[in-house]
Amino acid sequence: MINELGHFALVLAFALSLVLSVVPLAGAKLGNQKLMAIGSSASTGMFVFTLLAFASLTSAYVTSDFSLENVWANSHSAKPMLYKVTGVWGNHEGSMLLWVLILAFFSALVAWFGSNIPARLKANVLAVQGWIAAAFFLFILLTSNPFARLSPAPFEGNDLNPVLQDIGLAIHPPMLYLGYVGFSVTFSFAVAAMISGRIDAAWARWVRPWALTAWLFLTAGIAMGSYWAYYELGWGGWWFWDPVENASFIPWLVGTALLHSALVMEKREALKIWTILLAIITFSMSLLGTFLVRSGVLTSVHAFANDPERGVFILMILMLFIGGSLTLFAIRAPLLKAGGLFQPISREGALVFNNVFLTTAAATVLVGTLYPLVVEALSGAKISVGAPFFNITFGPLMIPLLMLVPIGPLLSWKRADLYPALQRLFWVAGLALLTFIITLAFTSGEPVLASLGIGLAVWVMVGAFAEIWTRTGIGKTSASNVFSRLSGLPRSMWGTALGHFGLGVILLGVVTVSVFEQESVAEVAPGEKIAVAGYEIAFQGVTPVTGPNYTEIVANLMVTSPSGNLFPMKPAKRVYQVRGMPTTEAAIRTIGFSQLYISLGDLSASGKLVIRAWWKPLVTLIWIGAIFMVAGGAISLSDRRLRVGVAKRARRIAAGKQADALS
Amino acid sequence: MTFWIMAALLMIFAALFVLAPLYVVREKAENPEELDKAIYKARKAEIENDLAIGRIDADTARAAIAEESRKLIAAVEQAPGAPSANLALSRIIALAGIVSVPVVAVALYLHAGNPQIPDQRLAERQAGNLENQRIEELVARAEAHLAAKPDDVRGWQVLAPVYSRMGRDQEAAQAWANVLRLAPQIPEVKANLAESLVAVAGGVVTAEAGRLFTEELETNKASAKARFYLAMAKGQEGKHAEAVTLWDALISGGTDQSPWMEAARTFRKESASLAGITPARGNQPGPTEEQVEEAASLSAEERKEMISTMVAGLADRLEDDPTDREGWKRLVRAYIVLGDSDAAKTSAEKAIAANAQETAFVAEMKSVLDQLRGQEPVQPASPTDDQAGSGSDTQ
Repeated sequence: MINELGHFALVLAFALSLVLSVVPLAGAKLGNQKLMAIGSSASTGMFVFTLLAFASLTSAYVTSDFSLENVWANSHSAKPMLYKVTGVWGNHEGSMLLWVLILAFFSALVAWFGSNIPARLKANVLAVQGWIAAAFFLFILLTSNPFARLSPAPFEGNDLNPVLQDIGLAIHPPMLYLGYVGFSVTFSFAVAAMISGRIDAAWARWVRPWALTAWLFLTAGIAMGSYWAYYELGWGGWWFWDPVENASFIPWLVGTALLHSALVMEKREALKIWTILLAIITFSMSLLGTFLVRSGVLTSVHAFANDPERGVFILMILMLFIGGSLTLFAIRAPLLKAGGLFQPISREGALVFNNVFLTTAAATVLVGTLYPLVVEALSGAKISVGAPFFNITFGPLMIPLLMLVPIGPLLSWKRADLYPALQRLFWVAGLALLTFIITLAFTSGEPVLASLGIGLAVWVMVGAFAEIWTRTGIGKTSASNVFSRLSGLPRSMWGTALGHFGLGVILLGVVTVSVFEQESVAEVAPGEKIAVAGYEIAFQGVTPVTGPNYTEIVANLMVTSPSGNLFPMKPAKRVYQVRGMPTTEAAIRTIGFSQLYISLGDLSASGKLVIRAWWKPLVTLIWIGAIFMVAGGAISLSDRRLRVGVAKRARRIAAGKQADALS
Repeated sequence: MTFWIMAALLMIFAALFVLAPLYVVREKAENPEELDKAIYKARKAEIENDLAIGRIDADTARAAIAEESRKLIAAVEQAPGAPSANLALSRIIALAGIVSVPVVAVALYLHAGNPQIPDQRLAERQAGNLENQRIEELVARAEAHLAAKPDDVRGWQVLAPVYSRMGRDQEAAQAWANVLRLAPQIPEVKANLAESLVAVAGGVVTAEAGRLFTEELETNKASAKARFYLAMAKGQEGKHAEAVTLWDALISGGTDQSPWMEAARTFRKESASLAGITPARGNQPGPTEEQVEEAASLSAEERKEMISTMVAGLADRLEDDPTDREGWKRLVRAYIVLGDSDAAKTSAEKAIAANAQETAFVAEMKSVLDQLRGQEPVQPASPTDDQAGSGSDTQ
């Protein structure tokens, strides 16, 4: 009965999304506050019922109720409990349910924490959320229903794709979806502004925190996905320019642009219309990503099912929302009042520069991702656009942007002088140059570009703190003065510095690992050794191991480091019995920021084993940098200034309004 | 029913999310200016903070505050006046909203839902301590396993006797055939396959089964199973004397503890006394579906007895309606199978007498009679095959 009640709850959530789509909008039009208030309660209800449906599906997974086709197809009674739970979204139907759950969650957040958004704006925003939700509920109910039944139930299920049986599945998809779907809020704000034909001051204040929230989850989700692919797939790569990765990277690029333009709008009310367009494009790219991954046009570990009916349905949702919002933009944008003016050399100018480069980069990645699909659709020829294309096009676009990162925050609003800003960065530039020269001197045979890249990374990393340095006047004023200034700095400034620093850290990791990585592959018999980057790896033999739902062959390796330390490493090859699928479990040893990465090839009949070993210098910086970016985003989000727009509870309104507004 | 009560409760709960604001929220005039003013004050505070930490100089701060004031004035001027509320229309919309929740939900659910299917959690299904359920589950698992790995001899070997116990004789025979194909050296495999074939044929040792038992004996002289069924086959062929010899040989080689001993003694007694004794007559009609099913679940002796009863019933019927030529054919074949050649002869003669004008039929009967009189061994294969065929037809 729980299964069927879950199904019923899902249907009720859909019914509530329909109410949400229409009633608050009508309330806003008629000026009826009761109808507008239904927006908040219906969003809450939609969230509650989606959560019930999700809980019901989870319970079926946990109890191995194979009378649900979805559970039978993707679970197994012998699967460890963690993967029974994460397996809920490790398949097409379940992951779409998670998608709408998060959408409903964000709608509910707007309802709960939006007590001081103007009621009309709030009603419109929630109605737009309702449209998106209704479309996806319908998609789930008509083409991807996780509550389809099988009776009598089979006694055993088909198990989850072994590649997905990993802790990564617990974190990566929810994070990524929080990011993807989080941008629906900025989208809804943009559409709501166009419906009412007015951008209030509150509007500008609200977009940045929501964009920031979505952005930091998306950043964490992409980084997590990258690390997961790195250790699970056994190829040792951390980014493949795979279409599915690009599908998440494009919204990230546009979302980053949105974050920066929202900053201009919040501060200066400039770039209003552009920000609206970016908000639309960002969520459109999220939808496109969902389409690419969910429709089955791409084959990858993410494309769980290939069903043309689903593809067409999502494509229709895509056309409806992207086409509809852009049409609305074309009609309404000219009526919106443009914001403040500024000189080209100014903080605003720098942010426009940032936006131009980020959106161009996003367009480049989009072309590289869609081109093979378009060619295949038109001529049937299968071509692949791989890393070389992206390295040639995306890389050069990033260089000027990265060079500007430390300069931008030092420029003043409206009009600025470039010279004083550059003067402040004099020492940073010197340090970067020094790094360049030292790297060039100590490496031989590597491209000069590598040294330039490392110099650029130092420029970005150190330069990120230039603003804080100059604002506090370190070295120019007394220590107590410095301290009081430090504590007076707005948190968003720390957030900016940390975020930009993280970008530099990622760059350093990417350049180092791309250029200085070493690889060694050999077929070895027990007792033989292979060496990589000064590490000697002795193959001692294999041990068969039986896990809960797999068997594996573990290679016993003893590694001798250049300094003489000994440590064991145990890469393995697994076979998951139910699906008969082999997976490679790489062994990774972190040494400082670098990693020794070993994965296994085939075991030959003669007992010889193919071992692939990589030395990956500073590779962990790629993900550590992402952690810095997320931390920066979180600190910026906690900035007290934003409380004008967020996190004011209803009961505090009357008493706290004045105090909060002034803080 | 419980489901629909729970569903109704959920539905009421959902409708409350639409209904509640209509009663809880009080209409109050909203003043957009308030928010604009609050934001203006917050911005002004930020500018002052920037000035305090030295981010901007005093001139810039003054200019910025002036600009914020200009923006506030513009915003207030731009703010739309509250439109007059249309209460009647609002009520219709609210009502439509509330009604649409149950209507949409029930319509969609009836289309896609399966309220009659209960949850089927694995633990509960396993805990339900019905022996059959457990066996079925094990069999289902083994079947899934063997579907993936059809060359697993051990798997087929384990599964085959389970099938036999469940009465799934056809599948048991198939499983033994697989074992034979994969590992012909396994002892008793031919005898086991043949035994399943006998069970499929409703207790009749068919030619194919007989051949397999003989082959088993060639490599495995001690096979009690093969000797048992071969003795039974002699009896079914009507060679009771030979059958008794075989039974005696078998019984003398076994002990009282041998699982087949009791059955062997019964068969021996039967064979010894069968010649010249007509089977007891009952008054039941020909085999019905239930009877055939019942026969499948009986032991060999019980089955034989049941068949005798049915044969007697057929004979009675033919006394009343002697023109049923197909009936006669079946009766004669049945007597041959039961090993009662005298009764077979008598029946064939009666059939000829009652249908003298049907030349083709008479010729057929006569050839059967010739075979019976000439003491030529009746080929057991064709009649038994026919019988097995007719048995499966009725099923």
